[in-house]
Amino acid sequence: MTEWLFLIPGFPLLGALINALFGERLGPRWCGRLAATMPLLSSLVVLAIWLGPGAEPALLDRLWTWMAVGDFRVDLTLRVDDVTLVMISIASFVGFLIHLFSQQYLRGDYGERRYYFYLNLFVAGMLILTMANNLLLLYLGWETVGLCSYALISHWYREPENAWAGRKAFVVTRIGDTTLLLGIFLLFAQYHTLSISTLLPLVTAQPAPALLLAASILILIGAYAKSAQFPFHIWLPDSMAGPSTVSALIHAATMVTAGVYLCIRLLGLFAAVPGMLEAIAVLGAWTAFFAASCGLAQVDVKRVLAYSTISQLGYMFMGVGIGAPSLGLFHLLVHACFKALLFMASGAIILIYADDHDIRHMGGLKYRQPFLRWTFLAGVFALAAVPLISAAFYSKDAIINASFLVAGGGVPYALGLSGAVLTAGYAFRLYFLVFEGKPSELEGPYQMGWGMKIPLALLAAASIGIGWLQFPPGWPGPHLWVHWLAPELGLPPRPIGLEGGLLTLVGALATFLGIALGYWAARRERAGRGLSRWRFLASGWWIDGTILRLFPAPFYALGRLLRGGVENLGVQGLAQGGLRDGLRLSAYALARGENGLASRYAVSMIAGLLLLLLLIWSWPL
Amino acid sequence: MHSFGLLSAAIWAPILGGFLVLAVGDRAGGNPARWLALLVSLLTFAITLPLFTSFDTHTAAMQFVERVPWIPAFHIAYFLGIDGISLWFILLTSFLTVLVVIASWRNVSMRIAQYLAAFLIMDGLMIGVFCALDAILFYVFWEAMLIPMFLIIGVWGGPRRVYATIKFFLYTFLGSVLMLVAFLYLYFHSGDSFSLLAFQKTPLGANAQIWIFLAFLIAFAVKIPMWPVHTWLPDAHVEAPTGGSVILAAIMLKMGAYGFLRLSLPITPDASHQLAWLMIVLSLIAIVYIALIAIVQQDMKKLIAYSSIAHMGFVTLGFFVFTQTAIEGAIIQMLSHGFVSAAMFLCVGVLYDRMHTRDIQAYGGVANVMPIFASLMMLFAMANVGLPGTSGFVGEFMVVLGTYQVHPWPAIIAATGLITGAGYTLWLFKRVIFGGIIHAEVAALSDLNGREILVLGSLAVFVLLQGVWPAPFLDIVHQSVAHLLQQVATSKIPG
Repeated sequence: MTEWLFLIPGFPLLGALINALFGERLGPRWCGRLAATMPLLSSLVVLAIWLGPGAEPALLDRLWTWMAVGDFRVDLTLRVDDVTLVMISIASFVGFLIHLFSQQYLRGDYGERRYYFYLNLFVAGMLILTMANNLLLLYLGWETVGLCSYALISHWYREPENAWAGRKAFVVTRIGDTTLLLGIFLLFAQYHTLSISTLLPLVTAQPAPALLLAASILILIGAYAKSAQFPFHIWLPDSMAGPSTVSALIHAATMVTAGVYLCIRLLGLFAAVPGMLEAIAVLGAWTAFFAASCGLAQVDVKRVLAYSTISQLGYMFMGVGIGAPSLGLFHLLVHACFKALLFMASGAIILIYADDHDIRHMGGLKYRQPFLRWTFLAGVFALAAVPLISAAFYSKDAIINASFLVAGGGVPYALGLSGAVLTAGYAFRLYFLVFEGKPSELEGPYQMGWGMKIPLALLAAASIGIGWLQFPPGWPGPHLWVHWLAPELGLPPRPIGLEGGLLTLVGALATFLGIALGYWAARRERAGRGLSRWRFLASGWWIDGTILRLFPAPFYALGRLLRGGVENLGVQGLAQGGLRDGLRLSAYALARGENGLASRYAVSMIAGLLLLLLLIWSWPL
Repeated sequence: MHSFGLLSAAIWAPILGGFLVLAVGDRAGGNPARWLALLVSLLTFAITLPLFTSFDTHTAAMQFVERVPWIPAFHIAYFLGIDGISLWFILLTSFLTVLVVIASWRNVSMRIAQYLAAFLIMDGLMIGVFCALDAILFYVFWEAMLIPMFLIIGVWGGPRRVYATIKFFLYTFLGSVLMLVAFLYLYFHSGDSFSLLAFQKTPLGANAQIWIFLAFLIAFAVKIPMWPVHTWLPDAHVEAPTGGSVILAAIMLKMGAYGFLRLSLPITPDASHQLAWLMIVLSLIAIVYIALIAIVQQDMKKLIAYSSIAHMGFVTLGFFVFTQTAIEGAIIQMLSHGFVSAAMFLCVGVLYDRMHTRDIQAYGGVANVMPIFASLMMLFAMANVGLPGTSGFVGEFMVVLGTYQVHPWPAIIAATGLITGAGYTLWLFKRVIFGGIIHAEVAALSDLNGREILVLGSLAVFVLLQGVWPAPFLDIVHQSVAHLLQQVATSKIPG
């Protein structure tokens, strides 16, 4: 089995390659079909691992040596353990569903072939990122997905704003990429290895506190930039400029979860630094709360979901931070299903409303699009964590409840719980505004084919039912998840008995309170007095504007200043002026000695040369 | 050791071929000259290939050595030989000359035979620089290669070509005069020999080393170019025809860096250590300051020229931290920059041929009409940004890693170049390639033709190959770099 692991990222990579070389001859339709087949083949290989050997002990596949100088050696090694298995299942299977959905969704678009090229390349990059056993190979995947994110956000490049948004996403995440790289350097300088499986035991065996602190902060910034965590979240709302399928795949289900995955993967590193996990928990809970509050005031359907993604990722980080990484991973899985669903559905909604993203112009969609309504509602249930019948109830609420048990968990618990109210609020505000009320006259006819319906139906089923893998402790029903991951991630703290029951009840009440909040917010929005008029919330607490004014603007100004002042006047002017005057002077001196006699030239030349030689030879050095 | 005269053949075949092309002239619309030039460049490339296939990677000694007395009175010899450091640059030179000949097929209409001949002659002279082991021979090749480049910019250049050529010539020529003085000094102190290998063994006092180092530094810093003697480069690039820019960026800039490896480090090891701080500071200025200048350029070629300077900053940084990883990374970076900058200038050339302007604002939305071009340029832009999987990553990564092991802070400052590099490259890409079509001229653009796809496609292959499998490139240089580090670590101060 292990020697076939390379096929998992290999198939989509091959698809991208075929597309690049022969896509012209294949035509857009066949490019799409080819592109959709590739992640399906990958997911079949993943399925074979599930059914066959499993990933315990971890499967390893060594490909070739990327680069090697002295003790610095990078082997391209793929590794699959249980955590990786979850990630590659999401990337390949959800990836496949989104490819399938795209067949109809993007038909006739002006860049279909390019779209499928980058989509395949993205899936390959994501699979490499998750399967890498070497930090540098991980970085390769990390940057590849960043590139594809850039290219796909800018997909409709004819609008300059889209290209701008793509560049913003790339540059902001690139800051994190660079700190990640520096963190990797630090670890290498200390431990002389980049292999994750070799590194982590070394970190525990030979701790170097100051270095580990610096390295983990640098790596964490990388994870935050990729996973759009406060204050690096500013690129994600703008990235909604890309097609909705791209948002579903990259900015919901897979790429943005890479930061969470990295933290889970390097848990040993973060755990070795005192206070680090607690900080991750608080920051995660804060982002969850902050972004949820912004979500309440957005009017663009996709921006609601973008802030929602930031917020949900915050919960995952919180799970990792409070020592419940398996629950964080569980919520990652659940979120991948329902958020991919919501984004794809929002893509269809936008098509129905003739490219209008504004939810205030929508309404009553349930009458003509019942299928869309029910699947979307399943996603909204999961987002709001409606008790019992939604998956996030078993994942997100489990994280919040677990935080109550850990020392210093008060702040994360409070932020997480109030975030849950706000989450249910914006989720149902979105649902009420789009699907309830009177039908809007902007609504156009749109018939979804099976290629769009099947992915939505499957993901809707998962959004409801996938939580039943792991019931709260003491409840009847399966308890598969945390125990299965326990050998790798340990058992999370979980409240039991009366305490557990009360916490669950409080969580459920938070959801219902949030639904009421959403109903109220939707009514006010209809009446034209909604939260969207509150600029502070709508602009995301003014964070984005402040950052743009603080960093890039002075950078450009400095560049212009240097170009005018230093480069043109100083460096160029001085050097040239000096050179010119020097030449003029020497020409003047020569001109005086120049009176036509060739022999005189020769004599003075030879004399000069001799003088020079003498000088050199006798130079008292 | 082989001495079939392969190196001589690689030097003289293109030079003789160049004169042959001159003799053929522009008759029959220049076609005979074109085909002959292509044949000569391909032949030269074929001659350089065996250097690679029969290269012995287990030794740091010079290979393919040829040594014939030239001016016996002064012990000047025709002395050639290569090691792992020079090998790749010879191959790069002969390979890129083929591409330049193909790329210039239709774009240059005036005096095509002379144009191509200049490139062929320059090809031989540049290979000569990388092979020469005698100081005078080195100097002759070094100065002689300026002449064809001078002509290429001065005759086939843009409107301000005279200004640019004079600036180019003065800077590079005046810079190298001091190198000659240093050679003479070394000649007297090495027991009357101009052999570079003898120079490397000559004991030198601390002060003498400093002076020689500085003399070399001026010559090489102008060539690379390093801040603050870089201002000739953007002007030269802007005025040069595409082929000239390609050779200038891809190979001539490497000469300065090669000079550091072949001359400065082994001949003046103590001074190199003593002045390493200066080199590191200058490199960091190139990386940080030049990026700021690059992001506010309006001219595509200027932007890429400034980006070249910033990328060469990584090279000089890598040299002067004296670790194996950093120096090998710097060499990989030189090669990678050879491919990527050549490709970027060819891309600009493709646009310039169609629109006759390099002003970024005249473009926008090129992807609409030139999808193949846009995809290829995306790849090169990403290599310029240093994305893993492309050649740009491996070099910069190894340099920063190698630097980090000895000087963490300079490494961190250099790493900001990865962010700013993304900033200005994507800024260029967004303005030119993305967006709607605003200008009617852009709407009329035609996508790449087969010849252009061949040229850019073959560069793309190398960019990717070096990115995913740099091992063969590194294998060649391992021994030579290890030997070099040994030389640098050994003090030459007598007593």
